[in-house]
Amino acid sequence: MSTASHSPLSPSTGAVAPHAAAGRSLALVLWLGFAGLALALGLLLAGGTLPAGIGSLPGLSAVIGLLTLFVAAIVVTFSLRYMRADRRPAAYFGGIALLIASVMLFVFARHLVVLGIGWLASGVLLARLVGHDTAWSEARGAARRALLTFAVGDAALVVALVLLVSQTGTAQVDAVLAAVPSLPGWVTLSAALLLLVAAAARCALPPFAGWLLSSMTAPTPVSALMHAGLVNAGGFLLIRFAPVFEAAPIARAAAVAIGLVAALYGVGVMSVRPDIKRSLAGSTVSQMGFMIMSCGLGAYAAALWHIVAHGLFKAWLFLGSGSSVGMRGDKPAGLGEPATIGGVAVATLAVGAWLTLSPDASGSLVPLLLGLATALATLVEGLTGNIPLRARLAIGGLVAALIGFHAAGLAAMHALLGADAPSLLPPWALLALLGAFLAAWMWQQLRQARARPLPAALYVHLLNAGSAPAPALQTAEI
Amino acid sequence: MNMMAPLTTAETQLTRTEVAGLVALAARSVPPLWPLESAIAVNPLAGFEDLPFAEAVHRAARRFGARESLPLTAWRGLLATGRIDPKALRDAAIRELGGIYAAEAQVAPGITALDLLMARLVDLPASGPEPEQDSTTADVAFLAKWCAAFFDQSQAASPMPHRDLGLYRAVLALAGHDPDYARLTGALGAQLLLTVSRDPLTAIAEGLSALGVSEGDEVDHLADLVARLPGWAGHIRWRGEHTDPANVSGAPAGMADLIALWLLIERAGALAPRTVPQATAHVGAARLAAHFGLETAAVDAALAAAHGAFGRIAALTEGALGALFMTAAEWSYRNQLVPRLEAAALEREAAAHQTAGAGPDAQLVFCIDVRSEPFRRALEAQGAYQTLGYAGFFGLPIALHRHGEERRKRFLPVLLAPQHDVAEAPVAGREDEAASLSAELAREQHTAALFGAAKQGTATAFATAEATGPLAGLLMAARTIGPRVLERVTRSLTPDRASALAPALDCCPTDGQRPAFTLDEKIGYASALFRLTGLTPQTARLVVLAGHGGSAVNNPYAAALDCGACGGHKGGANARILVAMLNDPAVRAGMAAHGLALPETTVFLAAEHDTTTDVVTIFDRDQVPASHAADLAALETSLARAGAVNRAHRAGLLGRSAEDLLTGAVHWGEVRPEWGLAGNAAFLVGPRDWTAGLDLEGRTFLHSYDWRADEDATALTTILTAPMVVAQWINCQYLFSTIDNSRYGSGDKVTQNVLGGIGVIQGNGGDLRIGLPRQSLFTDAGDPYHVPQRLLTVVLAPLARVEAVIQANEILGRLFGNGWVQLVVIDPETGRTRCWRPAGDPAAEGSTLH
Repeated sequence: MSTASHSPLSPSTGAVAPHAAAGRSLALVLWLGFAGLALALGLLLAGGTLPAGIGSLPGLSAVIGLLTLFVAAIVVTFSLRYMRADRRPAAYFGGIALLIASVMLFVFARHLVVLGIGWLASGVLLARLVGHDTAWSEARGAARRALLTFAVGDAALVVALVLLVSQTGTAQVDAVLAAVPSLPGWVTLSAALLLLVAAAARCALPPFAGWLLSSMTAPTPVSALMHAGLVNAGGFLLIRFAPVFEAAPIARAAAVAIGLVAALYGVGVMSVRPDIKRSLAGSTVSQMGFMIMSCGLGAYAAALWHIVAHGLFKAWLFLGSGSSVGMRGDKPAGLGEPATIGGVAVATLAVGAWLTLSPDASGSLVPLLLGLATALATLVEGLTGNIPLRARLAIGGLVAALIGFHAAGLAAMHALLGADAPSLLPPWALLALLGAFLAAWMWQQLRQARARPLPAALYVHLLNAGSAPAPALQTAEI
Repeated sequence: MNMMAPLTTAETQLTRTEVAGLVALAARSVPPLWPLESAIAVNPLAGFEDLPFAEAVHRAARRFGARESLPLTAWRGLLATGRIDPKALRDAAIRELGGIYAAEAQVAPGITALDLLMARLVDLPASGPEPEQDSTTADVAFLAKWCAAFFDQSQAASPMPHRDLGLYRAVLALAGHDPDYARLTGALGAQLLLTVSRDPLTAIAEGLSALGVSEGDEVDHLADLVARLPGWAGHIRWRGEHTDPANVSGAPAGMADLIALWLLIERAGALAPRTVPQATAHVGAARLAAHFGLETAAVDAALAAAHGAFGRIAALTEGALGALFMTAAEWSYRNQLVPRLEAAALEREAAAHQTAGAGPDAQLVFCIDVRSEPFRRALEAQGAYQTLGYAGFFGLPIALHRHGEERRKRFLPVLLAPQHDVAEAPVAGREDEAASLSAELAREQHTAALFGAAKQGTATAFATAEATGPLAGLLMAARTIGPRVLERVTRSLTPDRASALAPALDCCPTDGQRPAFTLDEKIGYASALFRLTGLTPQTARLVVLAGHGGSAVNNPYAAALDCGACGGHKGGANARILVAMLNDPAVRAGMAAHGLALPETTVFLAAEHDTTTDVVTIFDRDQVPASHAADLAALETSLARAGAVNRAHRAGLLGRSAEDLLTGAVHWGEVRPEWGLAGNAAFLVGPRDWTAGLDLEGRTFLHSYDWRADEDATALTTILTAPMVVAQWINCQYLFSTIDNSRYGSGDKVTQNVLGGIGVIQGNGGDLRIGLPRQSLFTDAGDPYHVPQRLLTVVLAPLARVEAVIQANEILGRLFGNGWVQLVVIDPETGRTRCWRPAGDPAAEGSTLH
């Protein structure tokens, strides 16, 4: 009897599938694009100043472009293995290629029409990737939800752009922005508010958070790309159109308010989710809120650095989300004893009060001081833990190094973007804003230290954030 | 005064004790589900094992809303690629029709029944492509959401309120705040929420009576509810039956809680109707007739014919046709395997009369795992090595408390309960390394806790992201582009865990007084190795016990690649413990007293086979006496060569290069580091020299056994009732996960979402997923790599002895009798083969074995 005639386990593949080659080529292109852009930026920086060759804020475009290409290159390379059994590889790699192209288009656009096209295309392409598993009704539902949310934001963007073009008579971004001071107040205010709506939809700030919180039907690498690259578009928009916002303080105040709400709400969602991916999504909502708030405060450099660092941070966490198997009995405790937290909060507020006495108190104070609170709390906790001295010193060293990274990044963004916007809020309001974060933090840490749950109604509301109204989706299916 | 009979209806409400009994029975419709950190293969149809296989599949399909078999298109693909023998399919069809005469009978002019059936199997259109991944209904979504929040074991920093009340009462306490509940159940639900009993058992009694479930139907009714969330129900069973109570304290939940919640929904009229895919995927008689170009009149005549074969064949469901394909797959495999085993048995018998040559240079005991077989074969080709197969926990029922971990873990088959608590302790002479490892672990844990707390803090989350982002970017690039370099760097920075720490036999983690093992216990476990495998006391200079484990990073299913016999962990620790016993002079003396006197020159060694990379690590090398250094060096060379051979072979099966396998083992994006136990098909019980000459293609569990050394059949009883049952669970997990990957399996890995440290869900929510992911079973092109087929057990032992063992053990009668496992017995002396025929099985006509 011949056993070779039908070997039950024969190799599954012969030649390399064409999609694998396409994926590899895409990865190569993205890595080369990243390297090229990084080189160009480096040369320009070495040459002194940045020429206004690409957009009026070349630093902004280059930084966002670099971040997007880097994350995309990682994601595509990761996908060569991760998506090896994908049923629609052409749609997957092709979709990512087009998505990145569309992002590049609006990031480097000098013409409003180009910017609008790139922006709109990126939304549609992103939604398609959220619904990549077309055989899965839940995925199609999530894609539709994203598309509908984007439609609202995109409509606001289009109206804002049309308004600006019609009032300034030009569609060149630089020319439009230069003409802003001469525009009537209602025009800048409307345009700024509309731009804020567009940004909030893309950044998934409440009330637009649902699409992001229900997008876990996307393959993991798409989530990484989305949370690291695409949601940042809102921040890009606000910084790009900074002159419009600076001419409309009400819109800036609205950005601060919506950002604050999103920052606190997102942390709440993150803290109640039992699943890793939606917990990360809650975190993204919070981080985007913080970033938009910083934009509203005029702390552009802080916002841009936040976009970059958070993008890397979140892509890392998403791609590594398969590692979170493993049961711990205890819940993650707070960041140290409540007394320590209280001390850190008071110290932070005191430094804040002292700094606001200076004449040039600016919006950057809030992110800066929250950074201070974080550094203090982690250093105290890291250096006092009940572990060997050697380990404590190592942790202290790590925290110090990270603070250094942070400071360097922030300084680099300042160098690229130039001055922040004039301060929006009076010193007492800045202190109050800071106080809101610190108070919420103390409440949270106190609850965790005493193992006290959230109030039931709040808990349920946060747990349900982003849940699709199931019956409606069910019936709409066929 | 004469009144009418009182109108109070006789409330025949069950007592709490009665309900508890019903709940316990209903709970058995799902098997326990182990958390993924110690993934254990179970048969998703374990609750149906007292039924014949076909009947069980059919009933389970209805209960779980699952498919009964692979889609016909997939089966036809397997036929076309030669993985199913066309002749075997024809034989299966003939048996289905009731024998060759019935099959050849003409059902229409010039057309036999067999023609008709073969046309349905091979030619006629099958139902459409893959059905869509089932969408979660609102009732399932609601309960799954609350189960997830309740059972979370690590993720949420703000836990669900009221968990101490138990699942049922905690959900009742929160449902009033939940718009999902209001949407689902409406006004009736709101009213029920106020009136329903707060005690789950009483609430179930109320519910059964309110719904009018009649006496005798209760268990089925409750079992249907349990089966709506098989993942969470399985998790509840695991919590109740297979873990230390301390691990789940503070959040009590039993099956009654889940059932009471289901009944609440059902009473509110919010239960979604169940759908069973392709229940009626038969073709019309007209369609079948058209295929053969028959006139309508001819069809009518055929339909009217006495036998009714035409109508019957036309009415066969796709599930029934799939079952024929599965039989064909089983026969294809059996017909090529058993004759080779028969021939090998005869050859062996003939060779037994010749004088034995020199003993082997080394003996190596591997786990019975199917992945051991190709490695053993590759190693045997390198020199005079004898290999054996033994359950990978080496007979040690232990719980191990690993250094730096909070909980003890069970390193034993789940059929057993731990008898010994073992902790890790520093290796003698390596205290410094151990201390520095301790500090390292403490630093890692503290850093992780600090990072976790900081990134969740309302004031600290933002700066944490900003400060760690650049580092994350660097690490991300390294893990994506150069994972092997990163891995090497990381390893060089930390002390080697295995050389610094070892499981300690003579101290106890809890009280420090009682040793983990007494001397008698050590002698017992050491002797069992010989008794169960037929290993003789004339041991070689080196005897290696090799546990095994896989290598995967960032992979929720990593533990599924580890040793199932060790409770879903790597098997090195168990090997080290038994080796320590076997090298202990006091144990040796005790064994000698029991007739197992080993040569003084024998040194035992523990090792671990990495099934992903085929690298074998030897533990405690520095304790090998100088006299054996040369033996060890030669062995290590052979192990490395065998590893390279096997790696290259396996790389071919994965469609990748051998080098890429090494990269995949440490790459965070790799979803299929190895094929695991895919392809598993047979469990062979007998000495290695029986199977050594055969290429068994990595599809067989090999348990060493020598019938001559087992007169009273105790070893055979143990082998068939313990390791074989575990093999059957594995086989059934692969089988059903392949048949319906969205119901019995866990679906596509790329959209999975790790939940609570326990397991995975798909996308945004839904049930905790059971079984294996698609990538573990299907090729990149979407074809089944694992062919669904039932386990074939082949025993080389006298027929009478095997029969006696089966008769004495109810579980074997059930597994063989109901066709969950197929049994073939080869008589070692005559070479005669017997095929165990399940009760009620039609004559195996057409099969080459009887």
